[in-house]
Amino acid sequence: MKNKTILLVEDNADDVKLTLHAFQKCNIRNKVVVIGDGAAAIDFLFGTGPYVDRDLSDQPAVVLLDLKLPKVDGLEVLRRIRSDPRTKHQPVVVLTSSKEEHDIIASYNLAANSYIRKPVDFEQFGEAVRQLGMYWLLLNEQPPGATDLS
Amino acid sequence: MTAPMTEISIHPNPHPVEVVSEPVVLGDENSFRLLVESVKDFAIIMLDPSGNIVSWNVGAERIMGYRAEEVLGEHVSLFYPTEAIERGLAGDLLIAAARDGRSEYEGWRVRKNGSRFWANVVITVLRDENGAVRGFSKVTRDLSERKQMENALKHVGAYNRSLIEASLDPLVTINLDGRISDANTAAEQATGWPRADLVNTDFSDYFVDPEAARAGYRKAFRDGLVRDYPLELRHRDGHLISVVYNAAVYRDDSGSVIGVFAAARDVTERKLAEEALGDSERSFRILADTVPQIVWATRADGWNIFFNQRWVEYTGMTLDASRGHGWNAPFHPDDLKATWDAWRSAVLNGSTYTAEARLRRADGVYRWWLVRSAPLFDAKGKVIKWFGTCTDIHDMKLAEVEIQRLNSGLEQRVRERTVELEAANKELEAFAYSVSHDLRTPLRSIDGFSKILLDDYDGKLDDEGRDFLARVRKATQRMGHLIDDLLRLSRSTRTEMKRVAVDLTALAGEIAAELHTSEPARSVQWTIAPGLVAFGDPHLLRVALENLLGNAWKFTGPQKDARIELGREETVDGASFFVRDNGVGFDMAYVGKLFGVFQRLHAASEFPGSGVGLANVQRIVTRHGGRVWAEGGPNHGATFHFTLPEAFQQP
Repeated sequence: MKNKTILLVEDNADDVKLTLHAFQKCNIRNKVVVIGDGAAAIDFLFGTGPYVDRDLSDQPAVVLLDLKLPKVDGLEVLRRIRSDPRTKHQPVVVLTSSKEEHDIIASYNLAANSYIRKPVDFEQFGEAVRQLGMYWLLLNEQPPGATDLS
Repeated sequence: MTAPMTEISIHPNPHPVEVVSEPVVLGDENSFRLLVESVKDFAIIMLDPSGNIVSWNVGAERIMGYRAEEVLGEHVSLFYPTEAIERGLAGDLLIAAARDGRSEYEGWRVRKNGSRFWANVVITVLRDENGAVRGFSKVTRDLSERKQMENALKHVGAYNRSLIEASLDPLVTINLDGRISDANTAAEQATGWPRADLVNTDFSDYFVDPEAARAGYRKAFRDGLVRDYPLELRHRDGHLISVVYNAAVYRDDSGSVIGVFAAARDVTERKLAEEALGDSERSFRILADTVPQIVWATRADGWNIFFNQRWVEYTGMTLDASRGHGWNAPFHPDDLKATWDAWRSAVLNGSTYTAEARLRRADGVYRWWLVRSAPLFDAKGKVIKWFGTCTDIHDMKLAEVEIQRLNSGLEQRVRERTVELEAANKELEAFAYSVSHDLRTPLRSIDGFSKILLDDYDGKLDDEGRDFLARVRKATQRMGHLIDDLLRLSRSTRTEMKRVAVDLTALAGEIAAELHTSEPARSVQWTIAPGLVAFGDPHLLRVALENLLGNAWKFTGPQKDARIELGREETVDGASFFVRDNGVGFDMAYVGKLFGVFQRLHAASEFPGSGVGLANVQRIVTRHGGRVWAEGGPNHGATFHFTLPEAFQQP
């Protein structure tokens, strides 16, 4: 489980840095793959484009997905994940600045596993990231498909 | 009477009936003359060949009324009515007699006094031994006399009486001298006098105006009859009865008028009705000529019979020209068909009728009129007449058109404005979205890296540096809150509203409990009125109450015996809810700032807050169609009043 990766789909460099910092602070040493736009995230998850040689049996333990992304937005990425049998059980946590009701509803409609709004207060943000990591990497049982292939 | 239809009937082969007048043998001429002269029942006269009278008997005198000396030498046509003379009847009869030996004839003859009688005449030619016409004999019988006699005999007695009595109208017979000779039971009742008392009294005595009564029967005597002659009968007890008389003369055997047969009809009721009708007719006309409307009436079939003066003034048409269908003329050609269709259908169905039409004024200007009419029914429900009015609605109509124009313009503007508003709303939503997303993101960076600096570079910072970074972080977080509040405010205006019954009492209880959970140490006395219900959006009303009760909670913080009350009160201005506290209150001088966005009356250090809460309350209350206002004083607490729909209302 420790070698499980985390996929962070986030275009804001500051947020990436702060997220990584928060992981580091709470001793989460898992590999974090950072991808800055929705299209690249889809390529990564389905082994297309630049990721054509990627081992698809090694899917991330959790995808931390921002909604506002260049090229393909977060909700579209989520829809693609859920509509493909290979990834439909992939744990996805929406991690975004938006607290708009329609974003929350749309995310749950697409079967997001969780929806977390990034707090401005870094202490709260750090706490949120810590709990996320603890939960998805340690407590949560991975979907069987992913485990079998690992 | 079985009189021949034609006045003249000449019989070429006569069969003499009453008298034998064959050419006589003049053996005993003298005794023959004596015989002839003594005959009373026939007028037997001799004529010379030209038709002049040469002898005259007693019968002739009796029937014709002339004495012998008055007529001897006169032509026989003296006894013929004018029209017979004009036709040359006398000559024709003589010629026929000369040709055929005799001629017979039935027809009118005229007496000396001018009266006529129906006569049978036989004329026989008299010739001398050489066959030359010596003259004619003419035998005349008065048939009407005999007929009348027969009739008189036939009808005399009970039959006549029963005929008189059969009438429900008062009947009397009046003698030539004006006295009553007979009266029926109805007459007894009408006058109040028994028949015996009526008979032989003066007819005119029973009337209010005896002279008029006399004039009436005299007219009957003179003209033979009187019709619908109005009189006022006085009953024995003094009450008056309006009657109309119909009277006709009756004659004796000889055809002489001997009395008047007079029948009265009680028309009191009819007269009263007529008077009333006359009154109402006059009232109607006065009314019709006083009102500013055109008033009209038509027959059942729609043929106009009345227009008031207003019509004449307005149209400039004469009443005569407007009668019948003349009223069509002033109607605008474009309105005439519709008006006629409506009118025709109303006349067919007997229903009321309304139309709007333009009528041409005398000066040629058209104005709009409202035409209405209703049928007048008789007792059987048949239309007798139509009454109608035309009301000048021109100014109203123009105003209506103007209003319609304005309305359609307004609708157009509303549509345009709605489109604009929808666009603005979309923009606002997009803006709110980007605020929530994009403005918060840099804040997170500022706060995040400040925190990392504080944590990871602690050794390189002195106390002042740490204080600065703490301030940076505090300001950042505050801005985060401002953005959140602003978003909440925009959401209060943007989100779609539900309208359901919201239990404010229960809601306030929940909020009070939450507030206590947030600060368990505080002791606040709550007074929440039971049964407070408003119609509105549950979420928005919760936000409003949270703000009001939260404010009360916050500003009673320093108070030892803090009290917060939610209630409802009725004032002359209507019912309103209120939230009252005994907290620090505010200076009424700044009441205008209370509901402004980011307006605060207290230092943030004293009472935290973004200054958005009350602005939000105001928006929510306003969106519900209510009003919010506040009163208070420094250290005297604050009361926030607000109104909300309390019963379901269509938005």
